[in-house]
Amino acid sequence: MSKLSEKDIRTIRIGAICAVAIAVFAFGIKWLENWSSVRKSLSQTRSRLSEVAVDESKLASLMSIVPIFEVPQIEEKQKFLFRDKINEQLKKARIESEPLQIQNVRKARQTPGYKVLPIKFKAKCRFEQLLDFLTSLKENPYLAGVDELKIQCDTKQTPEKRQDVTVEMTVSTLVK
Amino acid sequence: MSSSSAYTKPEQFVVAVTRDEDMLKAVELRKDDQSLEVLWVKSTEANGDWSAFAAECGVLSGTSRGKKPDRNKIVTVGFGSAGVAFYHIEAPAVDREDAAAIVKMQVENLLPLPADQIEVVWRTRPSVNGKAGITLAAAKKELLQKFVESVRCIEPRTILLNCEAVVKAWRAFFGGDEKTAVVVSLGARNSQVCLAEDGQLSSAVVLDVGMEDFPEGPDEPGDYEEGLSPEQAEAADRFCKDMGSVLESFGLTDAKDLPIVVLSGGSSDIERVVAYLKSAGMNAASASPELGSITSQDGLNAEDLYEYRVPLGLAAMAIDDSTEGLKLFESLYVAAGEEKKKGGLYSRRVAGAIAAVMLVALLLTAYLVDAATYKRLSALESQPRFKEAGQRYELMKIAAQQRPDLMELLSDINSSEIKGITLDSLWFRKGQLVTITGQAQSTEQTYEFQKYLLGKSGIKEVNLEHPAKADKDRKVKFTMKFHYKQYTKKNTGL
Repeated sequence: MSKLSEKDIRTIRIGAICAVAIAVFAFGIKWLENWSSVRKSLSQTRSRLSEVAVDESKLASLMSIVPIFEVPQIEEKQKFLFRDKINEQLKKARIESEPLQIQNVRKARQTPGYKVLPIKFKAKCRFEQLLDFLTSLKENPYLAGVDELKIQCDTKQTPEKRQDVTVEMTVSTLVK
Repeated sequence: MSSSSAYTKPEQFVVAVTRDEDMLKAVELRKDDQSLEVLWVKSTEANGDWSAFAAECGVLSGTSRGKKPDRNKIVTVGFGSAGVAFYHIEAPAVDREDAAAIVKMQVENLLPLPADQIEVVWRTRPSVNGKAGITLAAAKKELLQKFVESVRCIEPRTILLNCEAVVKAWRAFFGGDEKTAVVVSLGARNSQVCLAEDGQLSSAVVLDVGMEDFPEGPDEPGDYEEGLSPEQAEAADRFCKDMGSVLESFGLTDAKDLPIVVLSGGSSDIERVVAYLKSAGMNAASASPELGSITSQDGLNAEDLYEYRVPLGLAAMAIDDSTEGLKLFESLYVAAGEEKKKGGLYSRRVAGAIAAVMLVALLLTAYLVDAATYKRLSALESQPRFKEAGQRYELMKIAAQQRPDLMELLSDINSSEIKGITLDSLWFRKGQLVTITGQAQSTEQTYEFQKYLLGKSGIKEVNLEHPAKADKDRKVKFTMKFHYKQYTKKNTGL
């Protein structure tokens, strides 16, 4: 068997380098694409997680407005839970209201996947009782928002006797 | 490219130089796949100088002489064994690391000088019945260092022991194949006696009896008994006694049949020495070079090969990768080429390769970390409790935006200290302006009340509508409309 010449060795070297370069190019590009995709997904996941992982001050601020909250149930369950809680809070404030009227559900604009269920009621009470009720309202775990509040005094009474007010209020909850 | 082309091992060239008593002797061997060839042999007159001889042989680096060494040649130098002591210990058949520990423990008891003044190397022999013999070679460091300094100018690749070269030469060129034998290499004024076991040197002794101590005797070796002069008889007797002592030191007192091989170039003087040994009851025989074992263009005969047996043995050791020599100089001398090889780690090419590997490793690590983090976070995110918590938090944020603080609004409106203002109604509805109606003592009071409301945070754009005096009680009835935070803007509801 004859020896390999310098030219043969050089050709083999160049061939080997080209083969390695082709392999690196072929697999390297795919690998980089895959890595890029992983990094993008990771960034999105981190962003989603950072929304949940809020700092203490933000959470405290949120809890002062919404101290208690239950994830909405299906309509049939949620509407009774909400109505009963409102009723309980009215009674606690010693407000005797007319029967609570459950309104028709409507599509929620800000919460995809949920619908809005309003409850309307009308009552006559003293102004202090109304204040008691409004104070306790944020303790309602089903309350999503206050849509309307109308307070009307009897204008025929003297200002000193105007503590009796007529209240009309619409509050909403979210249902699945 | 031809399909029959194949890579063949390149030729190897070895130059071996050694001092044989007063003379320096050198040979160059060429080895290829098929043959071993002696290219040349050289020797100096008595007390030759290493560097001058090396220059003559064409192996001197000698920058001072303006010559570059031939890097394709392996240069090896032989060290005379006179200052080297051999010891034997037995140890359980363990791996090299454990054997090293055993040697370290035992060597201090064996050596005549403190361990830091002695250089020790060792080699294990094949184990028998769970026991392995260990051959130790020891020499004074100072002696070895002096030798290194004397041969450094040649820049040899290795420095080997002459006694090992004797055994190698016997095996390679004198047809030696006995498992155990005592090999005798007679010099002019001294003799090298080597114990060879399993083809390797096991022990060696230098006797200060040489051919010069044997005055010329009868022409026929068989006539030695009749024709011995008193001097010859005395030298023969002393040599035989010395050999007996050597065999005793080798632990071979009872081995009467042990072959004692006296290397020979075919001269009758050596045959006479063999005859002396035989007469002393030893199983001695001479061994001459096998001319077929090596080729030479100069037509070297057996006498020449015998003359250069030690450098030939050194060259054969250097060429034979399988020979595990006793590297007594390993820690004292590093060949220039080897230094450069180690230094090669810092070369640009190696540094570049290391940097490239590190870069790939870095990228791979970064990728794996990203992939692992994504997998972990995705798993966390997909957990039902986590999803629910996220959903709940989002809903709480929306609820917070949809819950106006009506207590604050009522408090702001009612806390006015303007006397005479009486409120009749309040109407808040998302997406519409907050409307309040009331009565005031005068129009100015309504203006004042309007200003008061505008000063409250969250209340904006307070419009006063229909201020008109009632006929009955002369009071001014008013209606005010204003924006309250974000709740009165359109499309703010759920």
